[in-house]
Amino acid sequence: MFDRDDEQFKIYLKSFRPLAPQALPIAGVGNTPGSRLRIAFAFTAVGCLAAASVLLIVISHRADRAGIQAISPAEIQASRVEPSTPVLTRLALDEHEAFAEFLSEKAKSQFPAMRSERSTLRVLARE
Amino acid sequence: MPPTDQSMPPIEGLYRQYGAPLLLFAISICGETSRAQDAVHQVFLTLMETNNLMNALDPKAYLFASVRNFLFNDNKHRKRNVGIEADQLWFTPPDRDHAAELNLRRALQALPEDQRQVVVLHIWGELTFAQVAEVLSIGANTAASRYRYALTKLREAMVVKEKASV
Repeated sequence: MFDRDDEQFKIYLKSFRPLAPQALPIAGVGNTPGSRLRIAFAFTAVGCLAAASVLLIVISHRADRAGIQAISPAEIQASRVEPSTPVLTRLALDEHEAFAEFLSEKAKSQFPAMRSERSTLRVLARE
Repeated sequence: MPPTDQSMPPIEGLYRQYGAPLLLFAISICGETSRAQDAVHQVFLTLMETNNLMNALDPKAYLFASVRNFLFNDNKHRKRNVGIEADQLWFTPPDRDHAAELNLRRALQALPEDQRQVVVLHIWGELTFAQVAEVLSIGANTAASRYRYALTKLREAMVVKEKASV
């Protein structure tokens, strides 16, 4: 039915081997779109934190240069204006005794005097 | 074609033995490598679930017919036909002769679909004409005559391309 040339041609065609099917992909932890999104989010979050840290450091340095140190304890005491928290912090760090003196002065005017015999603070102090 | 390992489960052995010609057959029908791979995998997955292959008289012909039926049903579902991809490899050529692979692929693509399927089933699927007839639901003589027409056209096309490339 088929001649010899056909058979030879068939053998030639058979020398071309069809490609095997590729294995089905296995869902990996690192290859899913969701995991990529999480990784991108993590990088963004770390970047934001780093930027915020740098910003805080820069602001604190500028505050140092802006003259927080320039106010002396005597000036603070003489001033009727309430000093700000950074000023007080700087005072506490640099001049401990002046800061203690400042607190004592403040305590006189801000804490209750415990003058009454039945005041709560005096009762508590006795206990 | 790799021999079937006796220690393997039957379906895995069939996959290793007939996976490549089944894929080629699927590509020759649908024209898309990725869809053809899906079809082959889907057929084997279904066989693993249903174990229908054990009841088949001719498991080899059954596999090819299953792939063909899957693609026809899938075509109805999609309601579209895609042209054959031009740049996807179908074969590993002898002696890495990729020009010859391209020639063969183009010659196969140029064949009418019914002839292309017969050629693929008979040459690379190693099905007899009776089995080809069963898979394609045609007579064995029709299968044989389609094969002869296809082989003649293939040879002409490949000789012309070989001469053109020299």
